[in-house]
Amino acid sequence: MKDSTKYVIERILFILLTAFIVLSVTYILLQCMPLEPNATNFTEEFRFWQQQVTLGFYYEIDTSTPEGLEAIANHEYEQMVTINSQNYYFAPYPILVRYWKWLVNVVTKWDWGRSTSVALNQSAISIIVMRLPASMKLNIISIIISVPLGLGLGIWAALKKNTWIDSLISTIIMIFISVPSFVLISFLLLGFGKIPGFPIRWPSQANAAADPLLAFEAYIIPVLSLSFGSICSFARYTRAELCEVMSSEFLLLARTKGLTKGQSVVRHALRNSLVPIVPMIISQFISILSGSMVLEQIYGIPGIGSLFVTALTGKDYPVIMVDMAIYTLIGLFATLIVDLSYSIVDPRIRMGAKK
Amino acid sequence: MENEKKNTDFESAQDFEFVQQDASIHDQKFETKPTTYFKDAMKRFVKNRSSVVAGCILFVLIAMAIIVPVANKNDIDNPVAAARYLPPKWFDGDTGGFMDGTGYVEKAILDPSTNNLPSGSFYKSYAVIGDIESTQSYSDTWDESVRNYGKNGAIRLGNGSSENEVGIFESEESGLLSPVVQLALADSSVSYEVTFYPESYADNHVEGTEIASYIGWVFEASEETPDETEALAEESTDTPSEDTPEEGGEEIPEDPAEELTIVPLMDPLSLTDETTSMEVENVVGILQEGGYLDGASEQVSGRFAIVYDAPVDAAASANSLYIQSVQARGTTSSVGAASFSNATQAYASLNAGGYSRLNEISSTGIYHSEVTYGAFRYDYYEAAFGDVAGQEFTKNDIDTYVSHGWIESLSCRGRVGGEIALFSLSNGDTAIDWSKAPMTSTSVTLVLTAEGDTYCPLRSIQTLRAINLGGDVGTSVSVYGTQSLYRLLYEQDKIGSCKMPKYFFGTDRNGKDFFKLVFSGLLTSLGLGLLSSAINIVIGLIWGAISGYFGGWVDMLMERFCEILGGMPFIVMMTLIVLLLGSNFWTFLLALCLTGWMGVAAETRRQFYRYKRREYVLASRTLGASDTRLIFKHILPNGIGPIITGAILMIPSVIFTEANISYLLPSALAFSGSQSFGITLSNVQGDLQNYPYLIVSASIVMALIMICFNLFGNGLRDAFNPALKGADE
Repeated sequence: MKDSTKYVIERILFILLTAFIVLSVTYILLQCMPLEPNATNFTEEFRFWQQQVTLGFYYEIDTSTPEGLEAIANHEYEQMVTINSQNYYFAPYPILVRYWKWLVNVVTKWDWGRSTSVALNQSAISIIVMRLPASMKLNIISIIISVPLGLGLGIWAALKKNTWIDSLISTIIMIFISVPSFVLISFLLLGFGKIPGFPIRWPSQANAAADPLLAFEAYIIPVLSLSFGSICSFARYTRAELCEVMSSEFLLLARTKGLTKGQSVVRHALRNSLVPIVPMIISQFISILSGSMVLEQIYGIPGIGSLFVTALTGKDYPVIMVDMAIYTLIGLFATLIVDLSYSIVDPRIRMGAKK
Repeated sequence: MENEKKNTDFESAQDFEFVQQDASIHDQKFETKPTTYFKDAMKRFVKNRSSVVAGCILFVLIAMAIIVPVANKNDIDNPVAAARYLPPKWFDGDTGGFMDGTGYVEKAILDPSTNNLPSGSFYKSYAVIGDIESTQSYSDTWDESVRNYGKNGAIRLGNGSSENEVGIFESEESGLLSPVVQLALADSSVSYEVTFYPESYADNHVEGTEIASYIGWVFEASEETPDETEALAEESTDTPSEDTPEEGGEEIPEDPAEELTIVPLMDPLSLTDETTSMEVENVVGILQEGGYLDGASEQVSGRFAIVYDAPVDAAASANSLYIQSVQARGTTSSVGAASFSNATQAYASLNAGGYSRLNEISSTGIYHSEVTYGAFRYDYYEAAFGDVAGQEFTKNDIDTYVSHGWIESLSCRGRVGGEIALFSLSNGDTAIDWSKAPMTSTSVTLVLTAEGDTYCPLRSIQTLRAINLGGDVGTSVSVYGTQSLYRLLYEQDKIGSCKMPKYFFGTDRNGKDFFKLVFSGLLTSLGLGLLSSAINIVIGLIWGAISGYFGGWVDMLMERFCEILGGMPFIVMMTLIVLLLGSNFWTFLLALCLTGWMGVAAETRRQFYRYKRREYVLASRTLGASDTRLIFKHILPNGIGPIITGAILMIPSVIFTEANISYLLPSALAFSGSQSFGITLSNVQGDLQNYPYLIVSASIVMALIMICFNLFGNGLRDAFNPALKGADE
């Protein structure tokens, strides 16, 4: 017990260290690009730069001092904003100073910077927080659907091994695993597009609130397209595992001791085959959380995946930064949870134990 | 398992004799050929039928990706615009609409007088198959044919769609302005009536929202007198229509003269199901009462305004007014000119002499314009590449055809006199003798040579007219004849072969041959996959070999490095690299290689751990073999199988990744120069609903290549490592 606690703590510390390094590198690299606030008027822009000053990334050049004037004459500023026919000049601190300020902001105030184009001047973290529920909801629904279906198909295929049912299921799995998600989504859109009134885009909140049926229908395509992939990988994995367990000696022993086929499968084979499947469910859950970018983009779902794409096209680096942080952390903790779940499902497995 | 079944049918006791009994064979050579690791794997692979089939399909697809872009000469850089959105065509004959390049057109606007396709129509009458069925219907979309052949209906007047800086809808007035009218001050009979389209309110009204409208008057700006401005200032305090320019207006330098001030002639009328019209009478009287005409002389000029009185939440409601007709009465003729009864016509002249929009933001459209629709089967290929009669040819064109040797003879019959031979190869002519051409000739005989029959775009001549020949020979010759479009396009190098094209996957929105586009994209993607897996194998092998062979702290350090680098999600890495280095083939490759080698490295490391403690390695080490020799001669060849399999399976995953990423971010990742598969796919995403054949055909190719790669890779894996067979198929 003591060993495993130590192992978990070690792993978490290492993950935090990795996350820190990755995020730092990302931040510093992103800072090499200039900020381009997508403001429609000067007041907005001025507010943006003032916020950058408050956050400590930029400083305003004092036009009343001779040094300031000289700096302006030498174009040692990055941004000039004219408000009420008065010019304001802003210049950035060096990257490492900005990095330090950013770290302090994040740690002390949980402030990850301000958006430049997705929603100008809004806190980047608040934008993400607003977008998270949509993604989460979809993923939870699709995992709830795909776990029983995937396991069921896999078990069915394994029990009917080497019959036409097995080959049919295996072929379907093969096809769906090989087809990229956007192809699948396109075909789903095409098929459901034939139904009149069926939403082929995510409805706006007002429309969804007005029409509960529409709100329900809007979930069909996203859930289907998210589920197909995971159903197939669950089924494939379950089938492989169960086939292996079914051919092992202890199952034969169980049968010779008089258990029916059903009993032996449910009580012995299935339990043992679950050992690698449970971690797989967890990792699948996490991976579709981050992997639905294509779907969100095509279907217009206001989640973090589509946000990432929007931010990237709009060059909204602070939002990209937070989104990346989420993806990085999700990825890192996924590996941890998967590793830990092995030892929970099967107590014989001791992660990190010396050989 | 199949092997066990064999050799079980014994026949006689001879089968049980020892073959080499009492023979000493220790110094003889093997009679059988020794089998190598790879040969053995190959033998196992061939037995796996599905993998072999997948391998064959894969081979065909790869070969096509290499051959098609070279062999298919259709121009995809400067495509034929007329050939846009051609459906796929596989068969020349009529198969009833299946893959023969035809389609059923349901809504083509006809000329109501002839019930035939008008000359300006998008659809060419010569490509119509069978009869046109015509139906009377309404059109709510505006285009050239509705402009020409539609009538009546209503003008749809929506609310303005402008938003202020914070994204909140600003209800600036939207509306229509009549042409300038002159009002005589003495005229009390001026009235203005707006009739709404029947039932339009009930049909289009959004539940729970309000919509109101009123008729206003706008003084002509040039007529501005001191009195009038005074009146305007007074009016601005009490009119509900007054816009609020104070809001954020101070920084926007705008000419105040451009701000229109609308004098309402009536209270805003809230529309209901029963509203059919709104009307004002005695316009002059109302204006005088309001004090707007104080000091004006006999006449004032201005415009009537039909104003959509937008509520604050207009953006959400998206309601519209549907104005069927306007009746303006008055003694001066200009007042009558402000009427219209045919809304389609009035809409056509919107902002062009007739009515105009009140604000730039006013959204207008046509509603239920009466048109005649035709439905027919249509040969898209005939339309784009077929023979068109009545095309004009210049003298130079025909001279060029002669110089190519495509024309055997050309003769015509003049109004007076008999047959005139303008050109005949058999007479030894080298150029057409235009001076002999008659003034008008309707019976022209054109004979093409055998080669000309294949290539000459000029098929026959209907009329040939020569004017002012005589002294100055050939200044003006006009020739109208039948032109073969595909021969013309072939002459211009737009299409690859001189026959009616057959586009297997149809064409995209630019008229590009999608078949060629898909396989060109596939070539780029395959190249990317091959190149990146080659690089990844090299890096991964070296890294994994060092890490696995030496072990200890070297291994530990290298592993930690991998863990940190691998902790970065691929999309993050990709984004950073593209943002920093720009987007092209090579940055994409770099991004793929930056973390892609880790899989190979891990596999190699595993193999090294597996083999490095084996006795044969120890044996050669004791014989003095160096580390390099041990790594490359003894350990690596034994573990190479899984590494190769991994590398082959990497190719489809790279294609997959590339397609996904280019699909997501075509703007960020458009390769300069070559087109990748993902970009090809993402370009046709917008045509999903109307032209599904594009995405379907590309998706099928994509799916096929992924499935084949996976099957092939799995087959290889099973062949190299039979113990894993069926682990996850």
